[in-house]
Amino acid sequence: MENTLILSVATFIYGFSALCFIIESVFNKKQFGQLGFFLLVAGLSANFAGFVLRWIESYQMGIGRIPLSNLYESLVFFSISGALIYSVIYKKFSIPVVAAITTTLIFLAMAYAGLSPTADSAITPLIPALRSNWLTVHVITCFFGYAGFAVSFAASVLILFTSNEIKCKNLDELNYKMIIFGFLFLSLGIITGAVWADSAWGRYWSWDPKETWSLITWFVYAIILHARYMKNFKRKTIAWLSIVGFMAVLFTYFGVNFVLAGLHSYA
Amino acid sequence: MNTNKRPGIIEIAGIKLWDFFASLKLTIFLFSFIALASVAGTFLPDRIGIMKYLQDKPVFLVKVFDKMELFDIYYSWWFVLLIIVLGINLLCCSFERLPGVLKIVLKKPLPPSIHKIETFEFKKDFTINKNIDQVKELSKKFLKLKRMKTYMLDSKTNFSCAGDKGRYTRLGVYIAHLGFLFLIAGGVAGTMAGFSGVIDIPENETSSIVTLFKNRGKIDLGFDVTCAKFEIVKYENSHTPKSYQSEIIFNKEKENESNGLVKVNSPLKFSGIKFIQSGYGRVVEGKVKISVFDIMTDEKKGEYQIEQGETIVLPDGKTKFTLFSFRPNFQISGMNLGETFIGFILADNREIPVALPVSTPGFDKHRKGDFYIVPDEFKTKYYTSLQVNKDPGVYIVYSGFLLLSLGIFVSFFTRHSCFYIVVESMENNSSNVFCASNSNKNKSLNQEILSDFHEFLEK
Ligand code: HEM
Repeated sequence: MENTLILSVATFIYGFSALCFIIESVFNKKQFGQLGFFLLVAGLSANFAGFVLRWIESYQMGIGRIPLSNLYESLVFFSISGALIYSVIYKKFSIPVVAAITTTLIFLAMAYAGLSPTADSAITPLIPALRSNWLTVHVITCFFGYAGFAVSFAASVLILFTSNEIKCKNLDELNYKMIIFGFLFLSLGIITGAVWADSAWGRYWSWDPKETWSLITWFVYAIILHARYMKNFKRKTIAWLSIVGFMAVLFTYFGVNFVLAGLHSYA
Repeated sequence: MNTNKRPGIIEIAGIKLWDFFASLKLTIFLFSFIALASVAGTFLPDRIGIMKYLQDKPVFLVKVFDKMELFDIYYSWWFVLLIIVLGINLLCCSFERLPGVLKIVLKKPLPPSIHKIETFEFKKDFTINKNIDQVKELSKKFLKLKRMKTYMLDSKTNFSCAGDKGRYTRLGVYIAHLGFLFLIAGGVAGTMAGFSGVIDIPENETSSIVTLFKNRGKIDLGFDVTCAKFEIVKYENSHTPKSYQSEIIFNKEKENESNGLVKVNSPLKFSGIKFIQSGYGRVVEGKVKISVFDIMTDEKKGEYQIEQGETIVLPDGKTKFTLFSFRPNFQISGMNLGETFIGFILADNREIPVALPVSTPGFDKHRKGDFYIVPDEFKTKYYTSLQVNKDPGVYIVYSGFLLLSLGIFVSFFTRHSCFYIVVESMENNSSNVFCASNSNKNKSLNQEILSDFHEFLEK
């Protein structure tokens, strides 16, 4: 299966990209940042190529489906969305530590996909209820949302350690932009998920743990959006909330599968 | 009651109450509380599970939890109440703020005075070597380029104009909030007036009884549902099912007979009730042939043709056996026995459950009775498992989805921006330009548009 080969190459490129950004953050060497960005784009290209190849291979196997339906495939897609978002905003917000954290998260997602026994990389047929276009849109929107929140998480971590007012303001702007981006996509993800559930299971909402956790995540970010309108709400509080939000994302994604059981146990 | 002596207190209480419900603090509190309750709900076991675990003898703490409906949080009265209060909070917040926003949305911007320009945060003034008419034309062009609607005021020596775009986008937040209200309303309506359950119908059989989820009992649909045929489509060269479907007839041989196909991902509706293909299985059709053997000699002592639910007397003349049910995949202490019949032996007034797996004929020897029983011959057929839902709130919820998506998009990614220009005619064909820019978000862009304008005039 060539797609997994290309995807492991992408993993390595992301790893080096993360390393470059870390060196840039620690030693303040701009050239490493540029190399890191170049590698990020290269990794994204390989990642995307692997994704497309996997899609093609599934057709050759007679299964024919977009690769978005198990843990392995969703992690691969998470990395595509994260790398894409960061490449797009890099010009405007080239903050080394944020880049380092984001690329590390992308690298970890890919490495986990490649190495963990729970993330099976075989292309398998879909069980009937998962054969739906709504599911495709659902996964894409959710993972764009999660990727936005991952960048916001990186910015929030840095906000906690930054005392410089100007830098903090810039980070805050990045944080807010990523949160609204993520919030829009998470909302669309929850909505398309509900529409899909309605068409497949006959109920748009059944409080299964994964659904409930995505709603919890949504509430956390809704709190952040509204907290901005309250007097004397501090930037660091918002940063903390955004970190809590990303923990909720992680729990929705991993925790529910390993700790709780439910409908979504496939991914 | 206009003679009330102390209207002050009631009024103050009213205002306080309104402020309470119109406050964002309440919103954040409710969001947090509902989120935490939801977290608890995903970790606490459900009611059926815990009662089974405790064998219907709940300890004190479990009784208290049960009284607080903690084993069914999402449908508990207090959770629903919190959500309704969230809705009220949202309504009050909107009514509190909407008039102010509508004032801005409905009012065209006024061409400003120089005085007014100075009050803005983002402003710029400069002198330029063009006469006032040239500057006027260029200003109009610039605002048109920025897709702004222009409102102007003219005199010989002075020219003032205001341009704006996206005034209505200020309503985006209210559209999102209205969408959320729809979700609450639709959800509550669905919970109050709908139901959800499952109906299993073997091929060529008819039923009208739905078993509701969460042990909420059974209901009669009031019409008949017949499964005419059930089919599984497999992936090529594989045993994995690709899809499955049931041919359904409603009210067979009655005047309002109606039929259709229920497929995975493609439900069927009849009289406001939705039928969804959710599973399938096999049931026994007709009689089952069983043989009874002596445990010591392995000698066949008898052969019976019985139906499920039927009781027979074994060859010793006193032990009774009841064939209870058929399970396609019977699990016992983690082991899957496959197709298995379940029954009861009644001996010496004691009821003993027995499992009779089809693939392991001697399995019943482990019971160490005088006889062991082996299922011999039987026929099976498919039954279809349909989820049955009635949800009168679903259209409200879908409208909510649309409004919510639209509202979030508009409130995040569009903005209302205004641009103000005042020009004074000077000697030598030059002009003094004062301009200001304002917007409700992305304020840093205001500086850019001011520089853009300056450059545009210089060209
Ligand atoms: C349920 C109770 C809610 C209340 C009382 C409430 C109240 C408010 C208020 C007062 C504002 C400030 C508006 C302004 O001054 O411009 C606001 C903003 C906003 N609300 Fe809500 N809201 C609620 C729920 C929601 C929900 C569920 C959403 C999810 C879509 C939401 C999305 C927004 C958005 C997107 C904004 C604008 C934020 C921004 O522009 O940064 N609200 N809300």
